[in-house]
Amino acid sequence: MAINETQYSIDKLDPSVLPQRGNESWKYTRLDHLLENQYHSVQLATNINTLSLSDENYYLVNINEEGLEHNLPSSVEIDSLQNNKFENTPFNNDIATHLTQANNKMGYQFSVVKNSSLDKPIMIKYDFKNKLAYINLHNEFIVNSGSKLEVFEDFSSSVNVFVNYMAKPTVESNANFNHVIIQDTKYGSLFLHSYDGKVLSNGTLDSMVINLGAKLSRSNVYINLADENASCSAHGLYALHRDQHHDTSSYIHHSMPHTYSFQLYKGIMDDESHGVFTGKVRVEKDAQLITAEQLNKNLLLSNKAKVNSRPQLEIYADDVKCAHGSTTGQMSEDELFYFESRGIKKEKARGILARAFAYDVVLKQKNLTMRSEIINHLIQKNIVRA
Amino acid sequence: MLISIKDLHAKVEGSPILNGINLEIKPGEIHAIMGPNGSGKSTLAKVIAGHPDYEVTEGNIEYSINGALSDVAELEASERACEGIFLGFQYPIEIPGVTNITFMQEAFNALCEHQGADTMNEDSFRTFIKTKLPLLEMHEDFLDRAVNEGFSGGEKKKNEILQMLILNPRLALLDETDSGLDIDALKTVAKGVNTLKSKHNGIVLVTHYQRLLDYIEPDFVHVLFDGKIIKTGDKSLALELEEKGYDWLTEGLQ
Ligand SMILES: Nc1ncnc2c1ncn2[C@@H]1O[C@H](COP(=O)(O)OP(=O)(O)O)[C@@H](O)[C@H]1O
Ligand SMILES: [Mg+2]
Repeated sequence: MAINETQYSIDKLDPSVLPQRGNESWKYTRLDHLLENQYHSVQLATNINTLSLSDENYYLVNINEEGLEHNLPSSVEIDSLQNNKFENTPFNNDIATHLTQANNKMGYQFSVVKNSSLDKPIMIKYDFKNKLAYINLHNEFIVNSGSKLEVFEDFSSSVNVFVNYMAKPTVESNANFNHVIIQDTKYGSLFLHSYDGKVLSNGTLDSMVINLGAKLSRSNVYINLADENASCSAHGLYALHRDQHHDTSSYIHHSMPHTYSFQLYKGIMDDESHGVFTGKVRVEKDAQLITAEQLNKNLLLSNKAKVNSRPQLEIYADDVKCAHGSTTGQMSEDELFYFESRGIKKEKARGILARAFAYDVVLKQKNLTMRSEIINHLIQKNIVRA
Repeated sequence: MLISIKDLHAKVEGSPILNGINLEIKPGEIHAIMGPNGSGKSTLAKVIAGHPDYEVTEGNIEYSINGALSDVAELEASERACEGIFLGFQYPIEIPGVTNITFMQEAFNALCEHQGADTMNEDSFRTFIKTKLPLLEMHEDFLDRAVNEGFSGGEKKKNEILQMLILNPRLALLDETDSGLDIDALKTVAKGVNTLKSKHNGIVLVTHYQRLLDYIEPDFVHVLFDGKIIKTGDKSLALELEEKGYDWLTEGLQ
């Protein structure tokens, strides 16, 4: 798919390439302020260096403007990717992937050798230091057959940035990939995130995307269950306040029979924030005997917060188990009164109930180290109490 | 005097429910409140506990705090609870995602903080609460389940009594704690209530059935109808109501 690259340069972005009104996938999210062009494009260096530091809980990878440093074991190979070609998935005809293709196509490939498993997860920390940097990055994760990999990607930033990140995991047969991406960039940032996952026979992809930071963020999650007995869980949490806007667009593609997907996305919206969830499940005609579950739950903490939630099912097979649901509501007065009638102050009760709401997603993370990492972010953001 | 309610009128969502309640309870007394469905029994209990949906339009509630009767109008529900008012709910709700032990520990520690006492960590609280379980014939598993989630009707009511015993209130308002219990569970609940009973605290039992009063003996029985107490007697009144129903009292009142 060829695109006209000049239209996508951040300095002279052509307004016609932005999602237009009438583009269903971007119905609730405007990118028009990209035209104001406050960002400057930053080319990441391609160095790959060894990191002497070690950590008892994680293998470490640090990625910033100067390149990458790591202390990974030899079973994980890293290459830098440039001018990478994109496969034409039904999902990548989108502004975020177009920007990646048109711009500096920089990224890394992490590949785990066959039949291996690491004794601890990999922590990839992104630390971009250039104010108002515009960064395009895409990483591929190849989990070769019979292997197990756990990766925690942490996008935090102390300055406002515009990150356009694409993660492309491929889970080969009989492989397992447990993948967390947490977006906790500075309020004021812009974060576009695309996820292009593919799972082969008997493979399992567990993905969890947590959006906490940025003024505007979008997670476009596509997972293709591309062979029999492939399964995935795709869970997410977005917790917003002030005038933050987050949009998750999820697309689970059951291409083959006997494939299984489980999704739980939860949102907590405070102040005047706005959450958007679109959850598409597509089951191809021959993809019989599949299971697809999808649930989106939203908690509004203020009268001015809002949410748009849309399930979209496209089911062309007839022998399937599909369940989906969506709820949005405020904290129940009856629940709050139960706490108050036991001496617990309303504010504290709200905190406990918000934590319970968020933990529903957090507890889906089975790796306890990774789970407590998520909890730490939530505590720091005051979304839950310690 | 533990609590003194005078000419209490209250409404919810604009409609008047309580129409002039007078009730005084001294420490050590047990009062039963009976009356047909919809007469305002639960409303009375919730108004005393400080539910924000119910608006007091006339009259007042005075409650003994530090040895003196004070108007509770300005106290939020949580403050009333910390001062020893406990409401056992007619329909205890489920709170997914919050374990029973966390809920009770938060409540217990809120009380400790209010009294300036040391709070308890989870381990010592667990040890403490475990001593209360056998009395109510509750298994330790209940502590680690979400509050009331998947509990049977009887288990929910026992869980209310467990909370009551943990918080040791001075005034316990038990709203139909006996409804839907089989005879064994009823005895267990009664045992719990009798454990609380002392010369220092008052207990209000909202009930439809005389049978609870076989196990917990009331000093007074009141009949609430249309938001007013229309008759007060001793425990024999409950027997009479069991036999005759309410019609002989309510005829001509509405
Ligand atoms: N939150 C509420 N909103 C509207 N009406 C209510 C509410 N609570 C109680 N009521 C009404 O008040 C009346 C008394 O209810 P309640 O106190 O529950 O009676 P009881 O406990 O004696 O059966 C009923 O008519 C009931 O419908
Ligand atoms: Mg009632």
